[in-house]
Amino acid sequence: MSELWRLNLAEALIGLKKGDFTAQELTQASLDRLKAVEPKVKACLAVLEEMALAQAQALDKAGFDATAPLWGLPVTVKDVFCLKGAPTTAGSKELKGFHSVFEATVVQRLRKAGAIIIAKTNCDEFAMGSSTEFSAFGPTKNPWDLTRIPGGSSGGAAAAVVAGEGLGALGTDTGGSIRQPAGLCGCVGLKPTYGRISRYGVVAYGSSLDQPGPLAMTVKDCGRLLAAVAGPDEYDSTVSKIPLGDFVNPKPLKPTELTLGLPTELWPNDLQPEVAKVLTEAKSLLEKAGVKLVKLDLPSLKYAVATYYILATAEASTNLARYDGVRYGLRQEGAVDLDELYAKTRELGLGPEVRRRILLGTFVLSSGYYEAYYKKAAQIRRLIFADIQKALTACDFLLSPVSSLSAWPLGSFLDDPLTVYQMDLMTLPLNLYGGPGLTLGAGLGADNLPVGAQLWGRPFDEERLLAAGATLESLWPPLGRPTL
Amino acid sequence: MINMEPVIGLEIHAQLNTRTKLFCSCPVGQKAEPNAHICEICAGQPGALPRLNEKAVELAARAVVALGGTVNAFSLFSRKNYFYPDLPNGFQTSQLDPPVGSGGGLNLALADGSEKFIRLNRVHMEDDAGKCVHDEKRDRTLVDLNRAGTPLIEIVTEPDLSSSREAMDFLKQLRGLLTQLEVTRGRLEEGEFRCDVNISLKPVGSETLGVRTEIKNLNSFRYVGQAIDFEIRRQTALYAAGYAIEQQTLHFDHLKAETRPLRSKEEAHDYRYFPQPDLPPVTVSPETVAAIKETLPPSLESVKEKLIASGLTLEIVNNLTATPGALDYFLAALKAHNDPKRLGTLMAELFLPTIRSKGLAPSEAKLTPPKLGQLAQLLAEGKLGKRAAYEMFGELFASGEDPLTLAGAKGLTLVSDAGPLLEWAKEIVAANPEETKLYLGGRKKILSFLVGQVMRRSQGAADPKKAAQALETVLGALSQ
Amino acid sequence: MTINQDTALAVARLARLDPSLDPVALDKLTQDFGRIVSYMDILAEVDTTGVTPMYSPMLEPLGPRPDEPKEPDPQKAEALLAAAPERSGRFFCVPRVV
Repeated sequence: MSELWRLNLAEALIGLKKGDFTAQELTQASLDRLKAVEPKVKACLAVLEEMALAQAQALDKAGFDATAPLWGLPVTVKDVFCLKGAPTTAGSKELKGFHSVFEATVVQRLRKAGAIIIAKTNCDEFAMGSSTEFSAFGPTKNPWDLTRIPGGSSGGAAAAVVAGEGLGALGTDTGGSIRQPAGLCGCVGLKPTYGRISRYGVVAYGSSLDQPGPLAMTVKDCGRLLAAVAGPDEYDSTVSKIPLGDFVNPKPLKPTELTLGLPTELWPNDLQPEVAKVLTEAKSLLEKAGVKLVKLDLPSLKYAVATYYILATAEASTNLARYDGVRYGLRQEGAVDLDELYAKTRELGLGPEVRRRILLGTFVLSSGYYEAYYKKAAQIRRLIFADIQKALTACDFLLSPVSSLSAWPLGSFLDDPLTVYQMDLMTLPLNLYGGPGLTLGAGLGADNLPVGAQLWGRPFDEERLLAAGATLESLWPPLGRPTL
Repeated sequence: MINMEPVIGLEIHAQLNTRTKLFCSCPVGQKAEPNAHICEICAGQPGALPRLNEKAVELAARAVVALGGTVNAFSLFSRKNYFYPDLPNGFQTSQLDPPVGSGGGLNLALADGSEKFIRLNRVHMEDDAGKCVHDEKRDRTLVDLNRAGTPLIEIVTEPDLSSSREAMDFLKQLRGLLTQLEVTRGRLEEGEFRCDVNISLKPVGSETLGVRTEIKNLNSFRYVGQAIDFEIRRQTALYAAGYAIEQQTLHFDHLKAETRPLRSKEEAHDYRYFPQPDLPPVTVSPETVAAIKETLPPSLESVKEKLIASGLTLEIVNNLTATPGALDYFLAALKAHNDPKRLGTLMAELFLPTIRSKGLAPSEAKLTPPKLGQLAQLLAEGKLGKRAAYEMFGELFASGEDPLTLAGAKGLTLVSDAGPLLEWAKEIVAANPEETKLYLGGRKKILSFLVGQVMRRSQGAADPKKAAQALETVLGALSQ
Repeated sequence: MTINQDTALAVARLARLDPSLDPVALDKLTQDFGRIVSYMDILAEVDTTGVTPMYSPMLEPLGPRPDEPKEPDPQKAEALLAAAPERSGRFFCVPRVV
């Protein structure tokens, strides 16, 4: 079997340009690899083999195009992105077999850039979860240890990248859904600034928090993917007009030019020992190279988890009101009246975690509770924003763990939603803040599981964030890929 | 017993005169098959996002300025959450706080000639729902989403109205203003202008408002009047009998002319409003407001004053302003022939009754304003008699032909050629020796009798002025 | 605040989630829900007097769009109708609303 699937995006692009191999050969290699490992990893919900090969053939026929920045590169997209020719389920039974009538802006931009979408990846239902175990179609397994979770909600995307099912992926991040699985699977994941990438055609979870972003094996690859999909879109009025920057070739930053802030709230004493050990080593590598590390406090983070879960579930509760069995999706037959139709349909189609969040979100918006919960949380969001903003004037970026645990065994926390929510503390403040975040591998733990670290940047500062990420990447040991 | 008086407030929904929906580019206001004008956005598909129509904001701001309110520099859309099959997203996108406009009001002309200022609470934008059709035979409800996403403004008054008459007059005046400004087309039968009525009773002179009921979705001024009158009677009777008024939402049954509770089991609504995160705040700059003020046509009041000053009666002026589009038509016709009195009379007596009977808007008439102007001109120049004009109007309206051509074809134009007129004059002078003698003796007034004879002889085709001239010529020759 | 079964049921009804659970399931739902809400109560200790709520981190977003109609797309309209679990001719269809 061809080993072309092992290449990263940048390497593959050089090979395609030089004519070392064709887009069809590369696509076929990724598809073959996908078919070989998928029974173990279960990262994908749909494989777009025919469409992908036809597209690769068309590209080869037309010849290499240097103006298409992702020419001939096989990638995957999370199953929350609408595209034509395959179902869009968002990991929910409610949307099983649902075909969108339109394509997400980022999907169109991927195609226009010459990328070949080979599969749609698994995720927690409607992107609500941190382990992919809440997918209605079964969990994805961590390629490093198939008894463990890959993280989530973009767990399928991260597992696919690490397992070699496509050279890059697009996921979405509402409270850490790109960064946490990237950390637990050992790849690079970027959550851009809110408003950097269009959300049009992305099945919504929390509209003021959701942001699509790339996952890949290297920081540089993430920059290349970001450059292809970012920027204003006439269909999403929350996208910013602020100029993009050079994501493909960001101006490099030397270690000695970097000051990283370490928020005490995110470096607790009770990190899992394997995680703590790798991160301590990673920090000392940075210091040896001349990176300046400074401790600082973000006291408002104490309230971040409660704030996030109020705002995210409030938005989710109404974003998911459209799944009512009237216009599309699942419907429970035989309802005697409309209320029963709604209730039975939603009970049947929506999983327990989604229903839990809809319930919570409905509660915090309801009459008598709005002020104490929803409005209060929106006010505290402002305080958290100010806190992080201030911290980021004292340093260039914040550095934090991605998760206090490395990938945990499947089924560990299924009955304990609150504990899992609290574990999101490492990632979700950034979504409240809006700024960009980059996860990259800091090393392998003694348990042979990846440990990730995360850089937090100022809003719309992705170019410098990518440059800093590349610097850290060069200082830390490469994780490589697990054997499957 | 304490005397009670009604306290009435209105919530008016006016469809904004845009080409596309509020949040997507689907067309509005066009006839179409059910669900033909829908897309992923207005049909609530997963992943779709709204994008605001700038024209809707401009029209809403125009309404606010014209109504003397404050255009808020910054306003927010919120989601109003409830489940209904015609509501594709499971929420309506409306404005809670702050709305696009606050305050303002309208001077309501009362029957006794005095005025009453009706205060407005707010003006906000929102999208309309789709339509449900109930199929009783099959026990199903059918949903058409063509209307879903249509832009509306809701104008909320303070409870300043105190009778059905006032409420109806207010609505007519408001509609006249908003249609003149082209904020809305205001067609009642299309549901483009409809209202909810809030009504309660309070002891005369008291400041404390009673429990109010809300009558939903009235789309005719007559129904508004009937519904208010019925509701006042109902509430008064309940008070008199010592029962409490229940706060409820009512539906007006126009066949029985009575109000009834809208839902059998009254369900407490909890709309869970919160700011719509998919839409940036709506901003209207002071420059934009200033520009709107500049382009705003003169107020209806000042236009009316001008028209009365130009010689029109109040009755005709009211007639012109009560029919949407009539004033524009009239002003356009004036450009062709600047004779307000004659044109006003033609409008009131011929044009407006005809379009009303045909159910047309003035702009839809084949008879264009310049042609009505020509008709007035023919009358003024004496080329057409009044009777002839009235006789041919039906045909003129239907065909939209040139008035002179049509009159000519029908032989209705007045004969003003000297030849036939002189012949007729000689004939009449010869046939009336007595009168001729009197005229020549100095009784000049007898001429009008002779003109009448010429007119009769010509079967009304003679131009009376020219006929008089011809007679004078013939008589003048005799006196020499 | 504590969440009792009545509150849990009322919220479930508002969200159109089927509240017809067996007693054990309802008890579990109420407990989970209650635990999470109690955790949220931590926010009460923050003084937010005079703090403007932050509803979104968006910065310099696009303005409104021009009022220019797109040609209706009959194929898309048909696809939207075709996706309906129940349709009647050109209508979406549900049990009759009283």
